[in-house]
Amino acid sequence: MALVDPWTVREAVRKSLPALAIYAVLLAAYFLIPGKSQLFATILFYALLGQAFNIFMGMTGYVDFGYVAFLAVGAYAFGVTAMALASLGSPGWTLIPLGLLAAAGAAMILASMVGAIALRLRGAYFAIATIGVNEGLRYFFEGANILGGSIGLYIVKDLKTLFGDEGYQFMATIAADLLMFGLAGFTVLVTAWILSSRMGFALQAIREDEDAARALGVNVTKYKVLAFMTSGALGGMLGALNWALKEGVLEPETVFFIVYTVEAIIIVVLGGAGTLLGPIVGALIYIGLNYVSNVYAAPLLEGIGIKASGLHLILLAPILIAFIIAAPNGIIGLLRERIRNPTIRRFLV
Amino acid sequence: MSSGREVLRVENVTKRFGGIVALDKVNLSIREGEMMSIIGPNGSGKTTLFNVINGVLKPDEGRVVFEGRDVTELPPYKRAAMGIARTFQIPKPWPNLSVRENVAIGALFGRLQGKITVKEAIAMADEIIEMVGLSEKAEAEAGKLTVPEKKLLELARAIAMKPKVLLLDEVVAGMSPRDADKVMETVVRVKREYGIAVVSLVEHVMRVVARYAERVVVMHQGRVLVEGPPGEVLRHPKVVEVYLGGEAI
Repeated sequence: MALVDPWTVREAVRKSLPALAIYAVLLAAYFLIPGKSQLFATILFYALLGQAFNIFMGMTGYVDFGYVAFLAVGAYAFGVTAMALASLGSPGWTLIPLGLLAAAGAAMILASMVGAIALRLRGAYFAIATIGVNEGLRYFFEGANILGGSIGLYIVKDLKTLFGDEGYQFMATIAADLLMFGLAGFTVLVTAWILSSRMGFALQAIREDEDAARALGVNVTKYKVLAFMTSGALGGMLGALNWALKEGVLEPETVFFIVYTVEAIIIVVLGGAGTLLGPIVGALIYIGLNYVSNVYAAPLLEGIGIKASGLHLILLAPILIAFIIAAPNGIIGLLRERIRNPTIRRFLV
Repeated sequence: MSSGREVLRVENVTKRFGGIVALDKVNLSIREGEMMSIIGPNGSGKTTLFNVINGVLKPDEGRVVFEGRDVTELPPYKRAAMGIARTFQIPKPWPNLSVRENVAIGALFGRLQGKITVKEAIAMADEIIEMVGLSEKAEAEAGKLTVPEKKLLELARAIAMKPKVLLLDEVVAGMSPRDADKVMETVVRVKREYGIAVVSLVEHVMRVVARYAERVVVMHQGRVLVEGPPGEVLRHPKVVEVYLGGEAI
C-alpha cells in the first residue's frame, strides 16, 4: 500500500524538485563552462557519495566508517562483469545494466553481512566495528591475492573489447559522467521517497530515540538493515561508474581509501544530516572550498614564501570547523531554523 | 468497575536482577475499558512490571497473555503493533521531529501498522493533538516542549497507536494539580471513547489515584500487596504501613 500511496508519490516528487534543479544546473555547467567539466564531475561524485551515505548515516544517525567498502566491492563487481562479458563477446551496452546490477548486488550482500553483525551494536560501538570492515576487506583482497591482489584490476582492455577504441573513449569520459548524473537523479528520488514514506518516519524515530521507536512499534532492525542495504547499493553503483567505468583501474589502495568515508561524513554533516539537499549543498561547499584553497589561496601563500605540502588542507580545516560550529545541524538545518517563510521552507527538504 | 472481557493477564511473573528479586510471582488481570492504577513506593517493581508487559524485559518465570495469546517471547515492537502502548516516566519524544510527526509515527506503527497511509496518519495526528490540547504546538520541535507538554505528547503518541492497553508510567508526576487533572480527564475520555484499558503507574500522587482509578493494585518489594477499589485500598493498614513505615500504625 505504501508504495502506491498517491500522497507519498506527490510528496516525494515535490521534495525531489530542488535537488534535481541543482543537478540540472551542474549538468548545464558541466557542458557549458569550458575546461571545467572535471571540476563539476568531482562535485557530482562527492554529492552522490554524500547522498548515498546520507540514506544510512544521515537518517539513522549510525556512522559507518567502512562505507567506502561498498564503493569498492561495487567497482570490483562491475570490473569482473566487464571482463566476463568481454570474454563472452557480448555487445558493449549490456555491461551498463548488468554491471550496475552486479555492483548493487555485491554491495547489498556486503551490507547484509556487515549489518547482521554490526547493526546489533549501537552508536560508537557500531562505528568502531565498521572501521575494521573496510581495512579488513582491503587486506583480505591484497593478502589472499583476490582479483589482482595488491596490484588490482586493469579493465581498460576489456572495456575496449566491449566498446571498441572510440566507443571506450566516449564511455570513459562523457558517458560515465552522464550515467553518474542519472544515478544522482535516481538517488534523489529514492531519498525523497524514503523521506515521504513510513520508512523515513521509522528511520528518523530510530535516529532520535531508538528505545522509544522500538516501544512504539517500529521494527528497528528491519529498517536499519533496509537503509544500510539501500545506502550500500547506491554506493556500489557509484564506485562502479567512478572507478571501473571511468578510470578502468581498480587498485585496493584507491578504492578502499578510508578518506572517502571521512569526506562523506564531512559532506553530510556540513550540509545537514538526514536532509535531501544537505549532502548536495555539503559537496558544493566542500569541493568549492577545496578548489579555492588549492587553486587560489595556497599559491598566494606560496608566492609570499610560505610553502608546505598539503597547505591547502591546513587552510581548509579551520574553515570547515567554523562551518560546523556555526551550523551544528548543517547548512540546511540552519536555514530551517532561521527561515520562517513557509514558501521558502517548502524547498528546504 | 468495568466488567468487560480480559485483555491482558500477567501470570506468575518473576524477574530477577542478579540476586535481587524485582518481581516475585506477580499475577494481574486487566479488563477492557478498565482504569487501573498500580501504586507502590520507589523500587517496588512497578516499572519492571511495565517493562515485562511491554516486552523490554523478558521474565525469568511466568508469562504475559494479551488477548488470549502468549506474548512473553515477542519483542516490544510486535506487542506495540498488537495494541500495547506505553509512555515513559522520563518522556522520550523524538526531539528534533515536530509534535505532529511524533504523533503520526505512533499512528503509522501502532495497531494500524500497514493499514494506514502517511497522509491518514498525519490527519489522525492532528485530531489527537487537538484532543490533548497541543494544537498550538503541532509544528514545534518536540524537544523544545515543557515537561507537562512532553507528557501530553507522549500520551497523544500512545493514543495514536489505537491501543487496547495503554500503559502510563508516572504520567502526572511533577505536574500541578490542574495540569494533572487535565491529563487524567483526557485519559478518561480516550478510555471511554475507544474502550481502552488503562494501567497507570503512580508513586505518590494519591489524589489522582483516589479520583480516577477504578481498581488499585499496591506493589511492595516485587509483590502484589493489596488489590481493590481505591477507597478501600488506600485506607488498608498494610498500605499505610508501606507508605509511612511500620512505626506509624
